[in-house]
Amino acid sequence: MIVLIEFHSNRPEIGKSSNIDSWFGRSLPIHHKYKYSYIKEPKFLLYKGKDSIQLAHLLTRPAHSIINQSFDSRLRIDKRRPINGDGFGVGWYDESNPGPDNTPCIFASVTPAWNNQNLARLAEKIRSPLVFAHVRASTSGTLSENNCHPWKYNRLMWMHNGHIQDFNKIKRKLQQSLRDEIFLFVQGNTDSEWAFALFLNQLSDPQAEKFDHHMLKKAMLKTIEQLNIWAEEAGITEPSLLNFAVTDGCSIVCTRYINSRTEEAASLYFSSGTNFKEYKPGHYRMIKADKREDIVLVASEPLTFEKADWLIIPTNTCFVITSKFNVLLFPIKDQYYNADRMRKRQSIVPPAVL
Amino acid sequence: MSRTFNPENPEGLTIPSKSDSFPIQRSVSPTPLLSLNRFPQKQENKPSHTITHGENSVLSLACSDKYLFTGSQGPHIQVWNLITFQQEAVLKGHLGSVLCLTLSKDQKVLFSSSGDCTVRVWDVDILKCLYIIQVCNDVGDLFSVVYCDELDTVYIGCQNTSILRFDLSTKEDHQTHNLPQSCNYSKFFDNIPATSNACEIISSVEKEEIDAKTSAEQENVHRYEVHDCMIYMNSHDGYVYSLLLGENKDGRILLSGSGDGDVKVWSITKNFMELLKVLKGTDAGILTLAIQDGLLFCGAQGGDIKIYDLETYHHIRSLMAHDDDVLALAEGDDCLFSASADGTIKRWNKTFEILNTYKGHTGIILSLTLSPNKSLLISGANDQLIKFWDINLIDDNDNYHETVIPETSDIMLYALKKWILLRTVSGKPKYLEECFRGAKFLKNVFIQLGADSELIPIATGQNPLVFGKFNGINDFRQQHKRLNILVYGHYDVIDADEKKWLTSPFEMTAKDGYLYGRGVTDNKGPMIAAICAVSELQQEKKLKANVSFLIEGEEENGSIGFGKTLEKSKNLIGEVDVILLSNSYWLDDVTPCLTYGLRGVILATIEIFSEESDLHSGMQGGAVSQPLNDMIQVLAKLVSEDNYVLIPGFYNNVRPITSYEEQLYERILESNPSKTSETKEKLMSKWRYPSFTIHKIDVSGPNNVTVIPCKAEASVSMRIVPDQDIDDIVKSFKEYVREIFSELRTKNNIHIEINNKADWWLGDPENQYFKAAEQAIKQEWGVKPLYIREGGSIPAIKLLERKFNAVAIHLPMGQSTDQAHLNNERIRLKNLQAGKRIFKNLISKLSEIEKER
Repeated sequence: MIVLIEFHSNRPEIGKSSNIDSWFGRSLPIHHKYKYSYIKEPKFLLYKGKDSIQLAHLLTRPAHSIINQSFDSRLRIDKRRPINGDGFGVGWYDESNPGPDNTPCIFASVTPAWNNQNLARLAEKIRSPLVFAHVRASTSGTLSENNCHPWKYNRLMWMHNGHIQDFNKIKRKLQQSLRDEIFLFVQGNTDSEWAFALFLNQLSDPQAEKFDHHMLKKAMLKTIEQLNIWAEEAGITEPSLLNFAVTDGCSIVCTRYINSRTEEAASLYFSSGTNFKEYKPGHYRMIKADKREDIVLVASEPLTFEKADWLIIPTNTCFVITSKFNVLLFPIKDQYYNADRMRKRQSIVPPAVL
Repeated sequence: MSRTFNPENPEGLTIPSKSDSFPIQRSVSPTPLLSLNRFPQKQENKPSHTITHGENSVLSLACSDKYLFTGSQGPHIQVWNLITFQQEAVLKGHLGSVLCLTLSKDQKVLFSSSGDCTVRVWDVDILKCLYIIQVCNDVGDLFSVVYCDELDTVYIGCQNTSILRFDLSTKEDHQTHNLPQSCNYSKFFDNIPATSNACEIISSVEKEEIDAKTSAEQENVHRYEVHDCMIYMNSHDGYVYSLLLGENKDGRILLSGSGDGDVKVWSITKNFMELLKVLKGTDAGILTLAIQDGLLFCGAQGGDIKIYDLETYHHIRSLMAHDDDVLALAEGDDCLFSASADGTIKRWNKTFEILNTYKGHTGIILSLTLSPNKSLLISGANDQLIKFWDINLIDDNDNYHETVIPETSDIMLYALKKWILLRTVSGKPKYLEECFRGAKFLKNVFIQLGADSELIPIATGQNPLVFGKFNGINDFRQQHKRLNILVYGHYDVIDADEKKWLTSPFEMTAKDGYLYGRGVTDNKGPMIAAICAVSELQQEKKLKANVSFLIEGEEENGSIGFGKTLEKSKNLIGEVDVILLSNSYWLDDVTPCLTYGLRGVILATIEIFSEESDLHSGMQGGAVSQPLNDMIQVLAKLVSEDNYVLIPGFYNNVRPITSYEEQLYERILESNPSKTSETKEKLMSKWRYPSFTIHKIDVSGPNNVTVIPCKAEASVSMRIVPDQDIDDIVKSFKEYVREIFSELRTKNNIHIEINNKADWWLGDPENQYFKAAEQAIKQEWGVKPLYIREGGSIPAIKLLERKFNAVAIHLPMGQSTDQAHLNNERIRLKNLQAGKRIFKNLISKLSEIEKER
């Protein structure tokens, strides 16, 4: 109850109703005044470890796993519809194959993640040192497996949490800019997949056998920069939420980004340590038995309730996990960079009520 | 304590098989030169001590003159005593891993940084938390903390890539009453779900957090908050793993090493910090930093050490130092140590050559530090061990000049370590040579420590006695004759089954405050302690008595020939007033004891045999006298169902219990409540009543169930007590066995052999010598010792008392769990050190007694 009192003192009245809503199983009518009430928010999770992890430890077993997040998503901006039921996808790299043909495998479905027996069965058996997982709340594109994150292109894998504001206004420009092989590769019709195509287009050779995090980071920043240019040209004033993640199977580059100087991007947390330990059924802790990291987890919402285990990635930051397991945080210093926002606690005021 | 007669260890009496008779082959003498001479041992790369930290990796270390502080993935800081290697205290308060520890220059204050977002500041004298420095911003784990004494400022390296600066002189301006993290509202965590399963969500640290909150309120520890303006955001791109303070032409500098591969140089002054220089790196993160002679050493991922000149910030070279990440560096005198995830520690000289490689850990070495006097290197690893490396043993120069008895190092441990190497197992011909080496070693120890010494031979094939004599100083003011003290002990040991030991039995290993090795407690350890005690008194010119040592080599073998040899060397030994020995153990692990009584023992063999050969029971059974049947009849009549010994007159002379004696037993039971199973009756049965035991029956023939053996042989023993006369008991035992045998209608023959006998011993706890010992023990341990007796036997003690008309005092040094004669024999270092001081004190006290006479 102490928590609740603090909550009230820190949050405007509007938050209270949504909170009470969740207290009573979301059955109360909500009088929302959200600015972005049309935003449906997906969730993603990624894991990179020196050792492989059984997917169940990420997807199904933790009390606040991504599957459980899909129907109890506490950090959703849109409180009206707290269920991410528009399909899901899991992508992983083979643990026993470090060779050049180690391209990711993707399993995606349009059924709700919590309802998918195949996912539960696979998660118990598959082990991987690098996992992307995504639960979808469709913002654009139809409900189809082609539209489920993550997507892959040869060795590269991509997912997106957020949306590109007024994507239709820039879609043609985007497609126009792509090289043929990349334009033709896109199967679905989501803003996220087209963003992936735009990213691939920044790479001189997206089919390359080897990338490094510098190349991936550079392409990622160029992708964002390009989207910003087109948004400005199209006169789009509402911001886009651009939490992207890309990997080549060795390094991971992701962003927590919003093209706004004042508002907060969709949440993104990370946790690093040596062992993601289940200390009792469904409850996990990150163990730190070394200075260095053996495991890095990035997630839209923490997978555990251990506050000290999770650190927020500041808004407008490029987050990199190098192949040597170094975690790097680069502030994205473009026209939306705001050092003051960096200093303040990001989550004091939820973005929805700004 | 001799347990030669222990049925589990009958080797002392058996005839060795042929394979046993080859002497130990050695290619190199384990103890070259004189016993205590040291010479640079390049190969000496075994730890001098090992501490088991518990279940956690050892992440951080800090060492003061007195204590070692260790931090681990668990939240508590452990404090270890550097003399006894035992835990001194536990500093509780942190809620996460303790990632870095550092001491102020005056060693008065300890700083600890943790994964819980706080730095705690501890008073090293009283081992209490002084105050807490916390961060309101979400900075993550605090990987590194350094304290600049001159600026009175701490610098903290964080997970979120920032560096914090906190000026302690202004800390009062930043006091807060908030607990860490309560100031930063988190949408996720502080909005615990309102779902039906909310009650299930209990954080594993929640309870500890609540405890810590309550205790923090109780202990009233001040909390200070690092203000936003003291946070240098994005100091690096990666985690700030390492910070280091230095000085160069730019003045005071702070160096920071990060996972982004860069090292940054910051100019620091009071209330100010500014980036001076970036030493650009590669993708390999910098995990640790060290400065020596104006050079900066950076331990990197992958195993390289990068070296920069701190004046010019020029990269001088990179050493391919290790096979895996370099996690810790420490600067010694004229050398540098590096520790790595590859499990090794390397020692580098000034020209960057490897002087030594230490391989002791089985895991990743995470932390490294040096003792303030730079004589001890300490390493912590994820094998949950802390290891201590004596780096004085190694000489930097290549010329092998020997160093004779360095004053600072502990001679006692050095001598013991070398002595344990010698397998002085008595009663086995293959160890004869080795026993002789052990005796000579001891003789040299005596001579080097200032005593006269010689070997006293017993007979061919038996180990000599070692005699050593320290003469007291000539004090002309002393009116009377100097007191003559004789310390009795033994250098022989029981053999060891290496496979059943955790460490090599003949290589002394130090672990968790204990020394392990065959003989460390029985009896080499206590003897070395006593010898060192007397030698120290002599060096300090405080030895006012003559102290002789008589250390035998056949004690575990029943002290064969001891009595006779004693007779022959009476002149050499001279007069003796008091006999001291330390050859038994405390009753438990905590209460010091004085032993005032031992039982005696008679070990006998009864042999019953027929004139015939072995026979088939189907063919001959019933028609012949059967030796084993007779044996059973005889043995059955020696002892009753309730263990009462049936030998006539056996109990006649057993001394009745006095009320004084009863009091002693009651004190033992009072002070020893943990041993609930012990009753007065049980103790008395063990210590002050006689007993009879049948150890084994051997038969001739193939040991087949259809054979009537022609010979049966039973080993029996009797433990005897005051005032039973050993010879009377032997006599009546023999007579009684013959008598009951003669009553059997048998054609067989009987033969009775007395294999060995040792008389009981009983001291008088009320005499002045025992009282002096009691005082000496009390002054060391702070408690009065318990007066105990022992069920076992030491043959020599009564012999010595009689021969010299002297009084014996028995001071046990080790604990009940020392495992004498068993696998993993050990002695607590603290007990050995205390034992030495008790001997010193006691010998001084005994000299005083003489003065009063």
